Amino acid sequence: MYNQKIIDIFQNPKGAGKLSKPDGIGKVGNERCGDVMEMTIRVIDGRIKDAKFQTFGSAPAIACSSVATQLIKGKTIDEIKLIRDADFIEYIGELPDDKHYCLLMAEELIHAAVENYYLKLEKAERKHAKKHGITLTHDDDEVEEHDELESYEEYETIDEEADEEAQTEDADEDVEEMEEEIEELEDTPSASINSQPTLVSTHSQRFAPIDDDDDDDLFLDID
Amino acid sequence: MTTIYLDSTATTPVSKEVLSAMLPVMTENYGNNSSRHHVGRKASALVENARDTIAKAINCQSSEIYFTSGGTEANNWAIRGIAHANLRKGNHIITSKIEHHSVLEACHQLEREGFEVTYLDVDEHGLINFPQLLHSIRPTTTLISIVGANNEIGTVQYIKAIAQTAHEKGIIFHVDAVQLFAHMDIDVEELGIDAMSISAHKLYGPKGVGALYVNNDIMFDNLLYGGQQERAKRPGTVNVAGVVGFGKAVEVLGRDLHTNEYKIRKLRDYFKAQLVHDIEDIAFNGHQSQCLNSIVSVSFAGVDGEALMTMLDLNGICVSTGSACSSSSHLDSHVIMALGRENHLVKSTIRFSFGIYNTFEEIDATITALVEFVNKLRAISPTYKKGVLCTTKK
Repeated sequence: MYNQKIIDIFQNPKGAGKLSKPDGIGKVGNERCGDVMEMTIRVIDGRIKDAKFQTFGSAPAIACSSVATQLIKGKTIDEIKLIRDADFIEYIGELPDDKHYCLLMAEELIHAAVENYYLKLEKAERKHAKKHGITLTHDDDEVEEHDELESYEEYETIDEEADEEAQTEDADEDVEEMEEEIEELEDTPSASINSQPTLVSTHSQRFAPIDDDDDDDLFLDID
Repeated sequence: MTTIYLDSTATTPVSKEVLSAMLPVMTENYGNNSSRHHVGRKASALVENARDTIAKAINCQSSEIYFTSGGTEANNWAIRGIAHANLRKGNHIITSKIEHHSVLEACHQLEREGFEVTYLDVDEHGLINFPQLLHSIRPTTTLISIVGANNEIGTVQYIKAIAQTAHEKGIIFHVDAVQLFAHMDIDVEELGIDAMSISAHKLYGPKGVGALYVNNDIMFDNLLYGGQQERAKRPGTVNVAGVVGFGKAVEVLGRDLHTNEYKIRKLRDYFKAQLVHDIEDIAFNGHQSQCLNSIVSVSFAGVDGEALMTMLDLNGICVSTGSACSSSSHLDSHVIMALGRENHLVKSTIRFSFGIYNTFEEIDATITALVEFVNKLRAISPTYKKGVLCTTKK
């Protein structure tokens, strides 16, 4: 059937589940015609701190998406771009020919999650700029284009759901402390917003959950 | 790890009685049934004896039974042979969308050769659309070929009604009874079947041997060309041991059919009851009363059928997604699709099929495993929403 590596990962997949308040959500495939993979990532200081997957698909599809979460953990976004087929194959061995698409889907999944993370950054950036009346140097058309993406809308709804949950979760948290933090952030010089590195750190400070730990995972963790 | 075999629709083990009938044929009565010497005549007697047994079982004449290499050859031969031999009358064939691949692919080949084929729709239970059948009959229609009992969902068609419709219009009626024959008494004369394909390995006989029944009044061409075997209709040395095993299997089946069916039905009903009791959001496919007792086709919402099959397999439980013929490919089942099921449920389908060697303990173990694995896979499924099929645990 499948090699032992795939079977082992399939039976005990690492990184299964879903992060609450993720910094990026990737989804590839669709229910109508095949496998579906979803990934949620948490990014801190430009590094993937945590990644979780959910997959509807065969054993190799589950194994590949599990390996995808393990491969990107602890890596910077630039490092993720260097992930190749060979990195997957090291973990899962050779795939049967008719299952090679699982590997391609898992790679696509990583990029979808990262892309969504950037979209969220951009959105936050624009929100911030609008609030303070700053004109961004980004090409506005390009931003609009992203807005039209169907998938982006999907992420939006998921985002809202997550936010709602987050609100209820954080009800007990010290709200004042949070507000102070946000005020501090908003006082940062506006010029720095246009440069990527600063943004990443700004983002991570703003979006990093206060009780940032793995305990807040919504879903079962079957590690 | 003990093996639990719940795939009797794919194939069955050779029963001890059949094996003991076959073994001496391989070593002692090894003759070629076409040879004229006494060793050959002995083999010939064995083959003819098997032919008589099968003819008697389906109530036809012995001269109407032709041994083949299995169900696929029988189906291919019936469709191609009858279509080509009756080309003078017309070039139109009617079949259904839930046929076995050996019928569908033969029809596709005929289409490439210039024939016209109508593929009848089925309702959500897998029964063919009768008004559509009446509507599709043309003056040029020569053959109607319908699967007696489908191999993925087990739905049994109204064979007699189709036969009457066909005969009223002077059309030849072929039944793919590979699955049906193992579970039901078939009387070709009473039902009005002109041609019928059967296979040995579905009824505790050996693989690689089947038979085609064709009424003596029907014209049909050869599929293979060569020697004078099977009255020159099917050249090639007869698989004597296989045929003897086939004959024995049919003889045993005739004796035990009702006991077997009673047992299998009990197992099936128990399995279904337990499944409904323990797992939520499932859907049974196919007709739930006019069906083979052996097959249960279930869709588990949010669970990939192939992943579930792999997990069960790793724990010794043999089932299949769709049919064995398509399990090795990742193509979706054409049968479940034809029922009009939502696409994601097509991919979530598992076929369980029971045989006489299964036990209630095996079913209990399977249910326990299923509960565990379905929950495990649903926990990591991005598509599963609780209550999606509105069936709850009872």
